[in-house]
Amino acid sequence: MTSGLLRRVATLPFMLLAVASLIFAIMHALPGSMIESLSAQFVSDAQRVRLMAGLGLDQPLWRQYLVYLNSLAHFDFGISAQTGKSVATMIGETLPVTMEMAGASFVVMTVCGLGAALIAVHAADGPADVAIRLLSIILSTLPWFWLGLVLIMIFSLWLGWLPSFGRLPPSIDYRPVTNFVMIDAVILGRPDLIGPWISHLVLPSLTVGLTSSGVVMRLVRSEILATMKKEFVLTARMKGIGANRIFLRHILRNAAVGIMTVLGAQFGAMLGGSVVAEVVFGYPGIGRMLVRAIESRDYLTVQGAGIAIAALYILVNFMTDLACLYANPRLRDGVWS
Amino acid sequence: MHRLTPFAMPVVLPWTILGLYLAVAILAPYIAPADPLAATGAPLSPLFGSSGILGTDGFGRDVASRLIWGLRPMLAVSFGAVFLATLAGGAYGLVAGGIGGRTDWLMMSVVDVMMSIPLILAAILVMAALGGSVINLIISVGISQIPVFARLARALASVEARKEYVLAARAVGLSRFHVLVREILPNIVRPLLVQAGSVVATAGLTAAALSYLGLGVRPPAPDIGYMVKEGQELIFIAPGQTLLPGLVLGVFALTAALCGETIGQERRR
Amino acid sequence: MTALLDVRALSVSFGPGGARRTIVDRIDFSIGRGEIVALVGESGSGKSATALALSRLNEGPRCGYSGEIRLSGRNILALDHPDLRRLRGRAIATIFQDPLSALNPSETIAQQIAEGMRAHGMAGPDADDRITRLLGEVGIHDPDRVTRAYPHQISGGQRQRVMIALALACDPELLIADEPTTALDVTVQTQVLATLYRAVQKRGMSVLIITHDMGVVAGMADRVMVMYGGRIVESAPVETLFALPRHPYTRALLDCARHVRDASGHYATIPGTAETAFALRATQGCAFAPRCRRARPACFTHQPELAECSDTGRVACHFPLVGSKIDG
Repeated sequence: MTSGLLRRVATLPFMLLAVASLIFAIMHALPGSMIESLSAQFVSDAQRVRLMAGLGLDQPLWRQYLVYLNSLAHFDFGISAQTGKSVATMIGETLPVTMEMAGASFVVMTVCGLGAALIAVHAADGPADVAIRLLSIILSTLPWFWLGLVLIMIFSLWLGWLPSFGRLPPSIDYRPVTNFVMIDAVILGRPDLIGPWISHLVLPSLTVGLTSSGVVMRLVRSEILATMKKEFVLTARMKGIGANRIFLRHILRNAAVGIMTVLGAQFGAMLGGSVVAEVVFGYPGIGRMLVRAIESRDYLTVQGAGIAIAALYILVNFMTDLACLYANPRLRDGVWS
Repeated sequence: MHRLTPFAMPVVLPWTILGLYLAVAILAPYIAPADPLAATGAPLSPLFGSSGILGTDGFGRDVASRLIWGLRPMLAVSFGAVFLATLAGGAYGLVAGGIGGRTDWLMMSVVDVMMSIPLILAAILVMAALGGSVINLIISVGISQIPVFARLARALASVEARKEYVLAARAVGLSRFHVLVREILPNIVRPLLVQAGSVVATAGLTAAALSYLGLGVRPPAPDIGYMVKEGQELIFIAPGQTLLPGLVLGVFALTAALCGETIGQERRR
Repeated sequence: MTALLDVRALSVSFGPGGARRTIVDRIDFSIGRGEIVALVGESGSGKSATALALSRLNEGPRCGYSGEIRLSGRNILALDHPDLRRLRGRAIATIFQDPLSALNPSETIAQQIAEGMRAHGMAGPDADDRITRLLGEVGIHDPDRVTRAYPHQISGGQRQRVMIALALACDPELLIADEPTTALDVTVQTQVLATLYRAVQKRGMSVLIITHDMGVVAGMADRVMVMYGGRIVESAPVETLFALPRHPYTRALLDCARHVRDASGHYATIPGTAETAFALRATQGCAFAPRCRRARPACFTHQPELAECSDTGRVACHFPLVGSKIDG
């Protein structure tokens, strides 16, 4: 266990550092860098110089980089030009919202993706299997922000069943503690928060979860079918094991690593998808914050939001890898074949 | 392939639709009934009305013409970004895998770092830094796809590099460049093209999402993704304004994916 | 001696209607209690399909059986699924060719052996001890470590020993060993075979050993059956068969194994491959006829039946070899 685990843990800080550097590079080094495109149109030359100095952008690049890393190490992302609040605080307010939505989408994606894949496997090459394969292609090529709008039309405008905007109705008095509604409802003793919270969460998570589930269906189906053909399944049958136990203990157990890898990889796509879905549904997460910051040329907020999303993604990948290490004894020993 | 059997249909159909998309985009100046930028009727004229077959948008511009012209940036970015990613990612992976050793490790570490940012976030940040235009969309969507191609090309190239014929070529003293380009490259091109076929749809969707976020083509230039956004503001009074461009985009992504699928199948045969 | 296993007119075929292929074609044989029978033949001759068929393990598109497989009188082909499950592993167990792929990579050795025992209600409180003892018996020197190990953590020879232990765990009446040593290094092969032989001798178990290796046959088997094109072409006690092969195909196999040279100094080979056997099955003749040097017109038109040719042997050939001594 240890060798594989240690190696993976050791890469984590390097990964975070590298990604922070990459984002710094995108923001500074690309032609027409962020700060220039931010200030080119609306600011006079004098204001611009002052703005640059205020952000430390008059310093040499290497110096800016060191300052940047130093402040990151202290979780200091600077002050938002737009709101005047510290970017770290804003991330603290919005990242949990995005995590809630990504979590809900993940549930939708996993339930639909695995469910459909299992049906397809049991009806292999039958009509249900063909239908699911077609469905998976359609789902994975649906423009998800557009699907969001279609869902709004159906469930909010025509049927009037579900709200289409925001995270909680404005009529509810919610003073966040942790910014996770589920946790706050427990801490504050406010079960009345949960109903409206879920009803606001349904459409965005359906939008992101369904469109991500297409790929899951397809990959999980082929993973399970490939595992079914392995010879150890024949051994299990030879031993006189029942079909259900063979499916759970031998087939699913060994397909698990592949399935988890698929789910983890899709989580990244999903996180990106929810950035856009937050804009569609006016959901106050970090994606909407990022897009607004770009619109209002709020440079430090853009940078902070980018780092936060990337860090979340890295952590999820890390946890996926840990789960794979747990599930596959060969990976634990560092055997990759 | 020659017979139009029921089995050949699914192969022919998406390619036909894709061809239609291309034809319409190329012939846009001749096909579009009206100027996509000029108001030609009352705002939000109905479908099949006197002002245009698909009516007009909130500014009174002809929807059909805007959709037709909007295909151009969509197709340009979808294919352009994939072309860029295949070329750049393929070359990068070829060099890494073909050379191997420490160079390989270093080059692929960079790719690992790029992979650890969600694809669309990378595209968003690059777009924010570059500013909106079709070329910049191609660049940013292309960059976000490079790691995938780099990894694939590297995996393929490093397998080839260990084969006898490559060792033989090196043994007779052919230059490293020659070995990479003349010996290894021809053997990894096909899987790369299959991969390229399979991500055209993804590229199109990413580009449309960027435009939807207002980071893509600058309005008022017609663009499918931005039309969805404009339509969203009118969703209560004119749902068609967002449904139509979404359908045009969705059908394109689906056919592109199906076409990509057929490229992969031919290889398997 | 009443037979433990009695197979009558067994056929195994795959595929849909028109494209149906018969892999095993109306074969008859029996295995006595405590008898070790070898089934030899080239790849594609149907020997592995026969081995799997005995506990109905064949997989494939529309796999179908006909005939009878009687184990102590019960027809296996007529069993329902729960009964079949009770039979597998308990009455008939199989050792597969490649132990690395035949063992579940994500469970420990002990888990995999115990699972079979539990399925047949044979685990009991002392299961762990019994597993350890069993592993010791099949020649694993550090059974305590191996029980806790995963398949990738032990050597190829150890894995095949584990596979043998797995098959022996529920004391089956019939052990089928499908090319048990093919995947192993030559040096390990003999040791593993010796272990297997000792274990089955001690238990008085009946064994069907599938192989293409005449050395394995000579070392273990009491009786040999030669399979070609889905049919058994010769069956005889091992000494008789080696000394006096009656079927031209058997003779050819033995010549290959002994590196016999012909008059011009070339090593003996059998022209063509077993695949051609299936291609020509449409004709009613002997499947081996197209590759047989002794074939005559009748061989292409009439299929020979397996018939007694001596007190102990049976052969399916219109023109069997008579008294041809094999000389090197």
